[in-house]
Amino acid sequence: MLGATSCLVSLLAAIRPGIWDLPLFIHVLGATALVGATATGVRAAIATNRSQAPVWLRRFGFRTLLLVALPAFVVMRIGAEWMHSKEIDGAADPRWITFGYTTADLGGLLLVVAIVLAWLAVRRGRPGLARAAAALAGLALLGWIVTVWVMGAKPT
Amino acid sequence: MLVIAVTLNAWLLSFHLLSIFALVGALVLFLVSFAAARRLDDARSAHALSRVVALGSAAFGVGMVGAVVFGVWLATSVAGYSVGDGWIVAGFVLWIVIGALSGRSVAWYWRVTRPLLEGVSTEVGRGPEAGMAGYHRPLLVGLEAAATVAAVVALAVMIWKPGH
Repeated sequence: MLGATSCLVSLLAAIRPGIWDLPLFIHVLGATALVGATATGVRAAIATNRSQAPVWLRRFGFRTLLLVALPAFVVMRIGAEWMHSKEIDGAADPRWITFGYTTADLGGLLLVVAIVLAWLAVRRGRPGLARAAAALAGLALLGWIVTVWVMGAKPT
Repeated sequence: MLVIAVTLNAWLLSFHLLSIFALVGALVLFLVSFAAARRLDDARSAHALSRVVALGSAAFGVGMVGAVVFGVWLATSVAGYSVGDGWIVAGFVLWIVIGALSGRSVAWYWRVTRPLLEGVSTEVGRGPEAGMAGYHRPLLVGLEAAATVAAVVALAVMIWKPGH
């Protein structure tokens, strides 16, 4: 029964009814902006190591994560939830959706902590905090990139 | 034992998606970086920013090539799709527009940045900072914003598939 339901959900995912188009568009738009902004913030934080303008880079990275990545995360998450709400009632989520939810939410948590650390790094001028922010945001980014593969490949 | 089963078309779709994420991600990186560059007033910050933009340049190249290669492969591999479909042709046109607009703004950025990295100004006798005026022209961000809008339209076309 579970297998049949899973097959049905996968089939619906493959043919993707028109009512999913707008939520999917919002979801993908938010996700691409999230990946781009997080990569920018992480690269900026890493580049502070051997830079002659570390203060400027730390501020740039922090602002990018706060003003671009965080809103993009919210847009991505709204699109995901909207799409999920349009699925068949009572059907169990396929594993790739569960995986997506897990990496999105854990990544979101890491992103928020990274933003706080990046803010502290800017306020206190501590390079170690910027490196910690880069590590956390980088980990979230890695998870999201794997999730993009999973969303496309939908492995069974 | 865990066995992960993925069909050829699913592999193609996943690599097409990853390429699109690299491409649009690079556009976001360029847009944010070029907007920040408008307020730059010293060569050291410009040098720092160039290390961020270099990542975007690499991602942009990979994304542009991957999006079209895996996109065409996918279109020929999936039953019911054809490379001549209107929405796929529209995707091609938008891909060219994105490449032209963003390629132009990135080329402009590096033309302004290279002399700064070498510590020389394009304006003789006025010091490295004088060359930073190139960052302050609205067209740098304008071209990148236009490329980003084209990418958003391309995403919409790929999802709605008008005429399919």
